[in-house]
Amino acid sequence: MVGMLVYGLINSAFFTLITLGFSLTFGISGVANFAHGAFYITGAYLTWQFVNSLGLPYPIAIGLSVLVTGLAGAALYWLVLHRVRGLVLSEVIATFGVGMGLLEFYRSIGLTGHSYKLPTFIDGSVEVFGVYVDYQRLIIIAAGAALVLFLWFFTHHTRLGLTFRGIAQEEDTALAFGIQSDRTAMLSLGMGSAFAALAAITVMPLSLLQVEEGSHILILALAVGIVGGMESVFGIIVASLIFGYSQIIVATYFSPHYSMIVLLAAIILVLVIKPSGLFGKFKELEERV
Amino acid sequence: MKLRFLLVAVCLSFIIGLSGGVICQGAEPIIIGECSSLGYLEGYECKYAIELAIDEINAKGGVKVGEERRPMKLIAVDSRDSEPGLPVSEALMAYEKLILTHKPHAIIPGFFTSEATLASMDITSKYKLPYLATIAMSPKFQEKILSNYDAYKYHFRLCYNAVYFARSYLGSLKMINEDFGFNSAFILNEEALWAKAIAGITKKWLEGQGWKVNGVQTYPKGLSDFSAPLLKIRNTKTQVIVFISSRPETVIFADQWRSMRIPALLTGMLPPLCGEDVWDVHKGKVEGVIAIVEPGIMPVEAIPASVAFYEAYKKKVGKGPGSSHGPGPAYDAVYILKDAIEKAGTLDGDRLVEEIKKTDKRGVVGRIRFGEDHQVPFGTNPEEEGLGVDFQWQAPGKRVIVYPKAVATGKIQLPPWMR
Repeated sequence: MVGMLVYGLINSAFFTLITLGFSLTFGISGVANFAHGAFYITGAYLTWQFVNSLGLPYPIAIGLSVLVTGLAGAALYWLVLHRVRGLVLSEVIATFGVGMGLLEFYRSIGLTGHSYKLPTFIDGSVEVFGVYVDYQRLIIIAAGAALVLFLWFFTHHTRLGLTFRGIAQEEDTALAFGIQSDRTAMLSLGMGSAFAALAAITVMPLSLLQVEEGSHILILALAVGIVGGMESVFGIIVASLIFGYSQIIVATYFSPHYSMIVLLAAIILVLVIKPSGLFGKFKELEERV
Repeated sequence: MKLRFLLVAVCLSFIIGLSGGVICQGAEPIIIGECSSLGYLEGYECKYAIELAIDEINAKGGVKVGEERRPMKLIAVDSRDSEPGLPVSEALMAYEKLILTHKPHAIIPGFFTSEATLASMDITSKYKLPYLATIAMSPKFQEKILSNYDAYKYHFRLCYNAVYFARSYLGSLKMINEDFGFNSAFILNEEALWAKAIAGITKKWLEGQGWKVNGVQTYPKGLSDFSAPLLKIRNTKTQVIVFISSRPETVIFADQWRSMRIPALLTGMLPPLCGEDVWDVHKGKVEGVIAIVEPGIMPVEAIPASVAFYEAYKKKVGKGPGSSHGPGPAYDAVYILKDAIEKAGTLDGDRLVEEIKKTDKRGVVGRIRFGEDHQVPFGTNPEEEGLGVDFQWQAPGKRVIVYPKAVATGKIQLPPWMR
């Protein structure tokens, strides 16, 4: 039971971590960034290259890859999405296309096999309430919590964060106050992509760096976003806890085989009952009507 | 004197040329088609192994087809059949396109997944192409051949199938039982036909031997947390974990097994943990893991061809093969095809099948002979059959062969936290 509680929390933090970037971008710009998984892989792959090909120290490699991935996200907005902003289907097709293209590019330049692995931040494990947990998994919890706190602080106590909220709440009014919506949307895509890179760098040391993980992460982020409410950080946290614990309960008492089914069943259920997600406000008015 | 020597040398070269020692100018190449998951370890390592054999054969004058010597050539396309979510129909389209566009004379090493392999058998038979499989492992392949032999006789398998694979590591489980007295197991397998087949065989065998099987679970592709089954393994006081998967999740599982200090030996089909660089990549965290591989993935002294292949592969690619199976048999398959073509004197599919059936060769995995079901049998004696070897990662980073005893280079050790 204790093991389930501990690992359920870790699992939940993992879901939060991989979804926050996606949620931030959607919440501010309204763009569902289907290249999120590709940026996740970009962050990890760049870090690997910086460490192994350029010989950079790990912390510098992490900082650089987060920065470069963030810039790539911003460039995606400015070069592609800027022209199709507001056309939801075009946005999805464009981001999906760019994401697939990026992943295929990594595959073509050799990101295959079992040799790509990021080092853990701290090696070893520790006993928590009678269950051994490795430090890297504890770092996932810390990173998830830190990112949530940072987002709260950023959107409530910084000028840029307040412009983010302004655009998210009412774009036309924000424009009247002189807030540039395109610039803000570009920054939100950059930040969302940087968050994806941060998540990858925190999570990937537990796994292998594989191109396929990009699509998988996108599906997980979509699932959490749909259930929690795409633009709601609180909703993301709640959905992550639901998935984190329900998956581990199902895997323990039934079989891990059903853990993905839980995810998909939850999406369908929420879409039927409350399409905006548990805490989403995006289309709440239309839903009521 | 010098002039006479030169004259003799020129005449000799001319005679050798006439008798077929060199490839005829402008001769059409014999095409080997590879339609497999080239982005995955087994897929591209088989490609390298096939290229290696082709380079060797072409350097020695190619293949004698009747009176003509012809070079061999590989055309490889990525079927991507192992990727999650990709429908089998997509892989089949790529396969038929390869056949229609490049007109291969034989297919090696076949698809990555058993699902695509089984679905492609009718296409292969339609074009009467010898198909030498070295990756996919489902025993349904043999069942299908026997169910309609005339239709499916073009198919052969050189790697172990799920049944032989299971037999091989069941031997090491028996040894674990004798050496440590362990008699409880937990089986965890990926969501795939071959893996489920092995899990079923293993459970049946273990229970027949008096073992207690505390669970058999299938996990979905892409699972990122194994704490639930691992906690169950710990709570049920399981002593041996049999993990059957060719997917990257293997690494997550092994890492979590180690970090949670689960007091059970980890054994099974663990391709991502088999390559020679794994110890360095994972910084020694694989200590104690027992995995099964084909000879050639690592050199086995009792099989000289495995040592020669391993060295040649390493020279070509820069490092030894890292998958659990496939490259060695793929290399042998090219030579088997060459021999069959030379004996048949033609590239006709039906005639080649008749010659391939007669194969009796000392290859990378041991002795290669096909049974009635066109499967190479595997066992513990490389003089009589193919061999699967169980090795354990032991400090300071060595792959120590622990089973079968005839080729073992050491004994099984418990992982550090179980000692």
